[in-house]
Amino acid sequence: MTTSTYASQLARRVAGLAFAVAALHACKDAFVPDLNNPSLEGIISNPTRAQVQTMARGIFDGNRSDQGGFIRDLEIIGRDAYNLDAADPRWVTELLINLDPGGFGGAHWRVRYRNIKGADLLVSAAGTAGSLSAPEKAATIGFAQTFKALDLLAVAESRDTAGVASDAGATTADLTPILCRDNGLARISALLDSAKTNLNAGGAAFPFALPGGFAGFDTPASFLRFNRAIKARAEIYLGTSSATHYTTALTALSESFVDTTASLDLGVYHLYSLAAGDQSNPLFQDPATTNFRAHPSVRDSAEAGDRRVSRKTMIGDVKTYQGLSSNIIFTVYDSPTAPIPIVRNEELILLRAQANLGLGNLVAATRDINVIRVRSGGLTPRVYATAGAALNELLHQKRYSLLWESGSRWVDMRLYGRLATLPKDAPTHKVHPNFPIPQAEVLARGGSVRCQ
Amino acid sequence: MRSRRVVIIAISALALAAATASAQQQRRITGRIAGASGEPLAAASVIIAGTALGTRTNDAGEFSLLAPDADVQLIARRIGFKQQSVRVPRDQSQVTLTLERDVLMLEEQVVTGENTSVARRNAANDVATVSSTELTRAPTPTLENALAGKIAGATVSQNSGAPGGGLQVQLRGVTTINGATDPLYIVDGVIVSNDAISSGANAITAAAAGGNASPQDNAVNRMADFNPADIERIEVLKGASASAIYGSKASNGVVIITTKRGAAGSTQFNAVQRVGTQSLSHEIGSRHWTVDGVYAYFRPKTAADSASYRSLYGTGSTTNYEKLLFGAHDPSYETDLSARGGTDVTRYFVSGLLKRDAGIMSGTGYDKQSVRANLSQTFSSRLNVDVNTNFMHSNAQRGLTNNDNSGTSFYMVLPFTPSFAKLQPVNGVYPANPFERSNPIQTRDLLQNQENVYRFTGSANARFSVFARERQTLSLNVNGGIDQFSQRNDIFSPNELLFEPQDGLPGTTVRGSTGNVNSNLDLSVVHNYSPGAGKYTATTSAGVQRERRDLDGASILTRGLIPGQRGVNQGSSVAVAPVRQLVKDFAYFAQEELLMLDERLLVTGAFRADRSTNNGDVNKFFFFPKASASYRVPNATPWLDEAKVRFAFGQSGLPAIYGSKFTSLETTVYDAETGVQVGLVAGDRTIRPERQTELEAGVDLQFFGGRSLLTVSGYQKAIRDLILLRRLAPTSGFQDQYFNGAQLRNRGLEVTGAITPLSVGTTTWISRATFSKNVSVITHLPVPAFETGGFGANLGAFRIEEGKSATQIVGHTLLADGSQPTVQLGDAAPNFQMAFANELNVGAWRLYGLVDWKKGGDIINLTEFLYDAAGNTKDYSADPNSAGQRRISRWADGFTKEYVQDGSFVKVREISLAYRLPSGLTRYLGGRTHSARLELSGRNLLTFTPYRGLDPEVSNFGNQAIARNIDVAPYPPSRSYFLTLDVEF
Repeated sequence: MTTSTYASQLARRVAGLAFAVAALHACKDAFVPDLNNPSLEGIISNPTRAQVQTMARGIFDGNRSDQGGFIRDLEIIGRDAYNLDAADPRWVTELLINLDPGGFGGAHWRVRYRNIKGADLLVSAAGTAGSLSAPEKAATIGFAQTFKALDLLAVAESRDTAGVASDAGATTADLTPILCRDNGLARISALLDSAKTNLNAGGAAFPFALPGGFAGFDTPASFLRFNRAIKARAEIYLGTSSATHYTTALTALSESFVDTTASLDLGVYHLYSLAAGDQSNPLFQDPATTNFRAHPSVRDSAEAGDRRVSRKTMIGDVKTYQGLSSNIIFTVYDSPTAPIPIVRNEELILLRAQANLGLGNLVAATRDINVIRVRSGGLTPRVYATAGAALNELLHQKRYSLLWESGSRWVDMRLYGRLATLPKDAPTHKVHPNFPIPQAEVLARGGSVRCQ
Repeated sequence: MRSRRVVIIAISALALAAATASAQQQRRITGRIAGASGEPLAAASVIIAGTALGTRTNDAGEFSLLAPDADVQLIARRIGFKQQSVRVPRDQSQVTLTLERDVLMLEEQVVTGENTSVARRNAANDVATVSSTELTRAPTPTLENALAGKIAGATVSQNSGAPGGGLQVQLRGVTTINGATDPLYIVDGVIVSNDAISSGANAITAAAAGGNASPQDNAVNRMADFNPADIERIEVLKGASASAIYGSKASNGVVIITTKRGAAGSTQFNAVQRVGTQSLSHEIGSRHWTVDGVYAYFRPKTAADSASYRSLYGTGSTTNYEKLLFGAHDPSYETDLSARGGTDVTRYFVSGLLKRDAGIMSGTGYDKQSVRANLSQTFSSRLNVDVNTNFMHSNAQRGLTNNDNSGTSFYMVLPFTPSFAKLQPVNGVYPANPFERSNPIQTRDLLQNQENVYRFTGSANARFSVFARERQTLSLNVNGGIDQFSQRNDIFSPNELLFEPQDGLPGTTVRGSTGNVNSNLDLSVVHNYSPGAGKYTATTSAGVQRERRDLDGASILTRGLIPGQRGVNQGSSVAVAPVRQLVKDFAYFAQEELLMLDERLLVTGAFRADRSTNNGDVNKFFFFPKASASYRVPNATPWLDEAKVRFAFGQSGLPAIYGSKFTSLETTVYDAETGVQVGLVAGDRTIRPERQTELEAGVDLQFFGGRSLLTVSGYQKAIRDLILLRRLAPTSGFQDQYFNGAQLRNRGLEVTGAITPLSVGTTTWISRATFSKNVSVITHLPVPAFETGGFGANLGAFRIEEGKSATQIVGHTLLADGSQPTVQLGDAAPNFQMAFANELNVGAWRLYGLVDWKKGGDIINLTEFLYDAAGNTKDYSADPNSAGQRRISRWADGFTKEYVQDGSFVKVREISLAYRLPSGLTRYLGGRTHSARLELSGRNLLTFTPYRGLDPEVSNFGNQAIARNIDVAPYPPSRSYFLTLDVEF
């Protein structure tokens, strides 16, 4: 073989190789989509009706995702409950002793703003949705605003004087103002009113299906009655600052579903199930092994014959952890699929009594308190000599009527400056006045946060 | 586009150079290569110095090769022997060379790139190598265990004592914060998976409840599958200066594994049979309770309560539950069979492994089987093809360990179970544990947690010699491989388990099924040019690499089982968790090596360009350059045989985290409808690989006629574009966002020394020591300092903070003014590590030991915290000044430091005493038998440590870049003892 033939053969081989290299490279395979999840960009502009449906359902679920933990933690701080979980001492060391803003003290914040962000995305997406009629757009926006207010109200309930951020950030770098207590509540109240306007313009039906727990409140008009119930809650929190809010609260209640003759359980609920991907009731644990225990004072402070005590608790084995012990087990939820109320008639009757007491309407308040005493507690009606005595009774009734379903005891005791009266199990224990602003939020805002 | 053209031009240039090379007059030299005692040395390489001409010896140690028609210098090399060179005058055609054993491995070849290598004496990097004999001196549960203490600069740590693996290899300190933690593993040219796929035990332990991070299932990383006995050698590229040639995959270092190959000659069989057992090597112990102590701790409120505690206490008789649960001594065994042989044309190595490592808890253990066939075929003088195939199966039964929130994991239950509790089954009925939700004896007996892995790894490597001339050679290499495994996890927690009704859905079954396919195809050309007369040798290589990784799996969790059933459709609640990752990468590389000045100076320059679908811009190529130089001085002084100084610079990367470019929505289900929500993490559309720049400098010295050597290396690794999760204001709706931003730096020193203090006749003593020290610092952090890993500062956490060590541990402390700031309390990185290996051969006896010493390195000991919180620690008593009470009360006062503890240790990793059976006895075993060895060996027999937990090698969260060293209820450590018979015939 001569050098030149060799070279030409070689050149052919090398050319073959070069071709192979080029072919390898030319494969147009340098793209892999997000194989695991839908993308944010895919839904935010001009969504289809199906996409509106999934966003709306996501908002229901987002609100539900903190419901159980929120009630549990507030009930523990409010000395209605313990979580005697030997695997995690923080249920005691944080909730009853020192709340860590980087630990349990940071709870019930991001999960709420995440859902608020979801509501904001739905509001802006609905505005661009060619698939929705004008009333459907309004109904969707009214729905999203109502849930946004509901989540903000949970933040206000847990943070109180620490403040509440007015909105979710529009971008990941956007820091929305932290509003002081009353300003935050006023913002929530105004948001509920804006939602009301939209719901009123919302036509006959939502463009999406609501979960079963909203049966009876699943059209824009009936959903508005739920919106007004939340409005009443917010206004009553403002009542201690200015009594005019009690009047506003009564107006809102009159537009809600409060009804002394209807079932006390009438209301809206979050449903839980065991279906794949769904959530089970986080406040239910098997009675034989449950860590969730009622505070001993739940039985000690009860009025003799109060049917709510036997309906909502029972005596089981003693459980002891970190010097705390209780043999009282909650029976409020009887299975992992039991629904948890968001708001129901029994609370609204008591809220109406609370507003009336704030306005000095002792007779009207007493009438509502006695409805609950009789219908829920199986007790006899009473007469109260003073508004103070009636308020004591109202707070007592609210505790037993809403036990292990709302966390309102702690919120109410704080509202009336009575946190110091809550029982402490050890000298080192404290009753926290509020959850702190989470560490991550404080750090993102330069290390300190002042409400405005 | 442009870079493709560059490759084509480069290849064309090589072709031209080849075409101009002219053939010269040649002659033939024949000869024989033998060892010191005259035994023929097969597979030795024989080359003509200053040329590219060379060959290998056959089974009889004979060779024959063409040489220029002039005086030449002939060089003979073989692994394990010292190189010899001899001058062969023009008129001499017959040569016999005798090679001396190279006990310190001074002369091996080390890798410099794809298909290129260089003699260690010239290498510009400290490339660590571990040979097959070093790997198998003591039986090892998995491959990585056998690396511990053998490589300066490598930290090899177990995550727990569970049978079946779960180890992390970290090279030269922390190289990432959030990225992948493991080095790149390459087995015979295949980039193999080292994924650690969670078993799904979280369904039982609920460890991830309460917002805690999830990978607490004590997962096995898949390097565990490979059979150490198959491995010929392991080369470790510790930093970017050596690993730049692997580009954006190599920031954590590269571990290159070469398996054994056939050799021409009659078939050599090797049979190794090991039998042994293991025992619990350390217990925590528990409190000695008195009746008064019980009352004082549990504070019964009523007379009935008091009576019930009194009756639980009974006579005060106690049970050592640690020993009861983890005191098994079941037999372990391992059978290794291999055969190697072949002809000049076809050579083969086949092996089989059968192995069982029993666990110290009954019901746990690890079974492994492996079959390998490596075939080498010479089709012509130009074409050689190697085909390597390996089929593996393993079954690990790992029990239930690590953190839980359900009162189920063994060492989560034991702290709360006082020794007077009566939990032994009575007439087959397991009593309820009055102190926790589960009876650990029942859990041990009834709960199943199995992991089955079937794996195939195969590769083919073709080397085509395009031409071979006296002055230059050009070869084309095609290397492709596939690594496929399917992993099945089965967890079955039957209805009758006492903890099962907790969620209202008694009975849980988890069935995880994950498949992974890695494949890569590499094309490269290597051109060798030696102008002759010993001027220089230039090695040019260039090529492309294409890689694809595809992980696809799903785990089905079913609760509320029909009693006795375990099928995933036999329950009332079913949940599916999928996992899917698909990555496609492409790279170019080119390298030029110049060996000149009589093989004294080696200069190397190289680059690699990578693109990956993980990056924000999938079409962008990222460049990773490399440059190095070494200069050796032979015979510097009478006692100094050789000195070398070396300097290397290189960059490498770590791929962008999978999915970090996407802002994904989460899907949920509510009342039978799906919904979407904002996810936890916001993505970054511009995400790019992390980039490491390493400078390494060192000196290698050989003294006293090759009887001792010293290697000293200093390095600095500066890593930028570290991918961080920026903690967003939670009001953004997201928790975190990915971005490239942080920088960190490692500086370190590594020393390897080896000496042969004694070498007289058949008596030799070889002693090796390694030392390494690494100091990391976060040099730039564009986000506020943040905690990572752990359970909040209160219980000790890791904190990434500018100016501080990357592995600092922080926690609360209480100041005089009553405030409780979060301060640094320790550092998980050791002050230094040393290891000492000694081998003493006297006649037929060999004694070998490996001692691993880690100084410093703190651990967050939450296992002790749990014992203290339960008032059940060995040193806890009713006395408030007892050590246990003092710790927990100081912790409650705000001193996290109580549980941040020194994890220093000295471990006797490996020890073995071997006896070579006398030839009379050997013959008795069979006519062909030429060597037989009996060996007693042990692993982790002794541990000396101030640490009070079970084992200072621990990681609740598995393999972690930063947050290792968190001790929560691990599987306890064990010692293992084996008797081995090793026969060659």
